[in-house]
This record gives sequence, C-alpha cells and structure tokens, in this order.
Amino acid sequence: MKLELPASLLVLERGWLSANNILFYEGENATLVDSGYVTHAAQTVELVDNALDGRKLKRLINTHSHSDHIGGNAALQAAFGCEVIVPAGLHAAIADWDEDALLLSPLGQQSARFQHDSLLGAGNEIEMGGLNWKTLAVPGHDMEALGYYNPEKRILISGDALWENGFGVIFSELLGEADGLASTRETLQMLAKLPVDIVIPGHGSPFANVDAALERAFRRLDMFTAEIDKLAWHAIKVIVSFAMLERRRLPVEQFRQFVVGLPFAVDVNRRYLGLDDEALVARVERDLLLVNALRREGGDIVAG
Amino acid sequence: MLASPCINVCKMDPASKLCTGCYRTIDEITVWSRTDDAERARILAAVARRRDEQATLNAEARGN
Repeated sequence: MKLELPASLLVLERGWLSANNILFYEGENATLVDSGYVTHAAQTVELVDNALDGRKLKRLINTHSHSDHIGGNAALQAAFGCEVIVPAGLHAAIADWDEDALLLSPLGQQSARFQHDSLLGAGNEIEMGGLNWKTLAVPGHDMEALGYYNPEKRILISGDALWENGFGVIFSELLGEADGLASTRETLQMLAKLPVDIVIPGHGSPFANVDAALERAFRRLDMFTAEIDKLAWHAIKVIVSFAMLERRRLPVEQFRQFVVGLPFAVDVNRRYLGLDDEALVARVERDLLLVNALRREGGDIVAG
Repeated sequence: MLASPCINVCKMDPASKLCTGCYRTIDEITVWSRTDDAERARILAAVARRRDEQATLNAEARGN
C-alpha cells in the first residue's frame, strides 16, 4: 500500500551505496536531509535541482557522518550555496577531516571534504517542511547519529538506526571504541516507546509496519549480543559488498587482494574470527555469491 | 509495492538523459517514492524496453 506522507516532504529513494535524500518544501525555500555517496553526487545534484523546481535549497542536514550520507555535501554546497548542519558530536571529525573517525580509510571508502556551518544537538527542535522535528540521539551504528521525529504526523527519520529489516553495522563495538551493542539496545528501546506511524529510513522505502521492524531489529540485536562473531562476520560481508557496489567489477585476484587489504576486515577478522587470509577471502566470496550480492563473470567478480 | 530498479550505479548518461544503471529519467527517479504500483509497473516496463534498446545499440557498436 502506498504511504501517505505530507506533501511538504519528498523522499528521493536511492539505493545502498547512496542513502535516501529527504527534501522538505518551505515556500520558496527547501531543506535536504542527507546527500548520498560521493560517486553519485552529480546525480544527487540533478535530482535535488529537479525536485526543487525553482525553490532555493537553504539547508542540508545530516543524520550522521558515514560516506553514504555525506558524500554529496560538497557538491550540493557548491551547486546551491546551502548551509550545512551536522550532528554536534561530529564537529571535530568533520572539521579536522579525520578519515579514521569518519571510517573512510578503514572501510576503503571515499568522500569529498566539506566544512559545516553549524551544529545540531540532541534534544532540540528543528522546523523542516513546516513541521517541528525533535532531534533524537540514536547511537549504535554511529555513536553521534541523530534521528528526527515529528510527533504530530508520527513520522520518524531514522537514518541507519532502524531499517525495515535491521539497522546499520555496529562499528564501534567491533572497533573496540564504545559499547555499541548496549547503545543500539537503548536506542531501539527509546524508539519503541515513541508513537510512530511511518519510518523514513536511510535505505529502502518508507515503511509503516513499525512494530514488526522493531521486533526484527531486537531479534537481530539479540543474536549479535549472544554471538559477537556473527556481528563480526556480518560486518565484513556488508563492507565488502558496499565496496563492490562502488567498484562494480574486479578481476578475481584483485578482489582477493582488496579484501585482505581492507583495514577494517583485517582488524575485525584478527579480533574475532582468526581466519587466515585465504580462508577469509574464500568465505567472503562464497557467502556473497550465495546471496547474489556478488556474481562471477568469467575471471571477474561483479557486484550483484 | 514494486521494488525500485536502482542497482547503485546512479550516473546519468548525458546523451540519453537516462541513468546508466536503472534506465530511468531524472523525473522518474525523483517521483519514485510517491508512485503507486500502476505507475511503477509503467516505469519498469519502460525501463525494460530501454535496456533492450541499449543492448541492441551496444551490440551494433561492437559490430555484431
């Protein structure tokens, strides 16, 4: 069934390499939430320009600082001269362009450097599209992430804290930087208490069956909490398939070298799985071929 | 609801004005989240037709 979202809000539904972009209409002006991956920036600018239909993009706001949400910031700033607003906890990582903290180098991802103009903290309100949105701290996948919640229409912009099927990889837990599993649980518990009719996630279509999505998210979290190895393996698979979405096609030998050269995969494997290089690559390749995230075409590995 | 044909390529071809990954126009990608299944089916049929046309053009360009 088609969901009824307010007319002052348009979801530009993207894929997995680029997060969704949400455009809010504010008379002659507009606000955008999240900007996609850097290699898609030209299309993002074109989509936003088309959707603006003569309005002016005044503000660009991010849910968190991962490459698939901030990659178009620089291009949008250049194209529209918009103000860029980021979650307050990300100030230093972005200002110093800390490629480790932004998870760019560890995950083999790229972005385009930008400067933000102001910060947004949790527990505030921000008006977008003529509606008041509460800013919620939703730590877990990204410890500094914000969600945006409108109580009147009962809409939640969740970023990667809640999808229809799960949530984004809990990096901080695997990198030993923070208690990401516990934070994810607190975030889901907080979201479960909110009256929400529609979730606009960072990836996938907006969805209405919020209770079922939360149930799946809790089940997945329980599984990861009981067996951290499962989280480790899931994370490696996600990161390799994300990287292949960008690269599209690699000769098999290069693919194998790429996997064993990916700092995050190497680190997580060493900490939790202890596979030798050959076994790591063979298992990633097999598992991703099995779910059609990758395909073999002659001597190449191709994104599914 | 019918799923989006996006395959994460997300680059426009300036000549055809279509996305080189999903063969949709900028308008079709822009409105996708607001379309119902009837409209999605129409777009997906156009996508399939354009993909075939492109495959034919590519084959001709290769000379076979």
